[in-house]
Amino acid sequence: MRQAFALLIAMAAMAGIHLPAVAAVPSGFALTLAPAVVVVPPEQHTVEFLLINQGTQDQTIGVNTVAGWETPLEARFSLPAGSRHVTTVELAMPAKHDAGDHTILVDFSALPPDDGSTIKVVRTVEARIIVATGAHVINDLRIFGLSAPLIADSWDAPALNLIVDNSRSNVHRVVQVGLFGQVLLERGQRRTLSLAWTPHPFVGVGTITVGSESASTVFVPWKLLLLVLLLVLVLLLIRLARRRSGR
Amino acid sequence: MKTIRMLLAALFATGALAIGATSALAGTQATVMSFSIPVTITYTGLAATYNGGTQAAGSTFAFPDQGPQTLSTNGTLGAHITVVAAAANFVGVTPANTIPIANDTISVVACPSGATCSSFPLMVSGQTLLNTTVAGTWSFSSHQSLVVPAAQLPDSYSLTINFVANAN
Repeated sequence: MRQAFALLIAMAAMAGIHLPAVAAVPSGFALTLAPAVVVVPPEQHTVEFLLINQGTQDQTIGVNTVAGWETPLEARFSLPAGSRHVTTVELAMPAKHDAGDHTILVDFSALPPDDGSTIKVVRTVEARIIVATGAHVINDLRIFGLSAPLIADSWDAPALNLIVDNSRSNVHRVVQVGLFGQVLLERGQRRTLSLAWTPHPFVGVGTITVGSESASTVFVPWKLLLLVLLLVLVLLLIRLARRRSGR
Repeated sequence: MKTIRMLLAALFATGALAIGATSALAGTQATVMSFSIPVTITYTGLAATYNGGTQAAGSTFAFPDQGPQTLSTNGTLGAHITVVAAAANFVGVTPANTIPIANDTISVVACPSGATCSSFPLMVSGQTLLNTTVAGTWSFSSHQSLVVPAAQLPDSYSLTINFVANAN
């Protein structure tokens, strides 16, 4: 009895930080949302979203919105494994609002069980509704700041950067920006696009042009040249050492 | 030349007759089937809960890696995953016992090709863990490590984290 008590005391003294159970539980979670991005005119008052549970576990989906223009008709709904569900969000434009676009975010979240785990994960697929109210539209997209390194190794893929700035506009733009591909810029958004430049000329000057911007990089296999130089140096040293030992 | 002309005329007449006969016999009616495919996003593989086991104060430990997770979109602009902590601290059963979320760093185990990944301490304002710029499917696992302060009081701590998948 005394030994058991001592053991309990020792265990209590050694007790550290307890973060319950160890193994991660596989979720069978697979949630699909469509549309994930939708542009609607101001006269449209409802948007329907399709949620598909392609996982093996039943889910309870909570619907959350941030701005005040939208009201989900369901705050939460059950989405059994393998099922699909269409839910509606109502839009009510205030009488007074700014011209141009207004973005509304709608979150569809698979809610975690309250099982006392250390980390509870809310798994969310988010939809973006862009209400294009029109009126006095300001469209002032700027593309600038294309940059590339002056010199790069022939086997490297140097980083290209470009700034796309829609901060002066009040509407979204979807633009094709050369090698960088298609870009969506929301109202007031400014982004730096990055790209690994490949394929590029193996040796010589490579020039990239995006709109009126251009940047050049000199491609040289300098790592290979350095290796060859080192080999030559080593061979020379060996030759020198042999000559000396021959004397 | 004359033979070829006659042959062509015969073929043309046969074709016209055949079309006419088919229409008359079947009484066909054109049915237009249409549907639209909007920008779609799918997020899979992330567990609803995970645990850190029993850890000593003053230690740094890793949670079990979470994955493989997949992020898919047909949107030509790609998609991203944002991680948002629901509170500023891990909270114990005794609410006064807390560990700041800044002690918990999240990253991607091996950033998939074509994506850009970040590593950062958890924040309530949210940060982008993984970003892609084209349509496709990306598979990855997330990794989290937590620094437990040396003076941390014994308790059972927990935190809710929101992983948000969003089309670009």
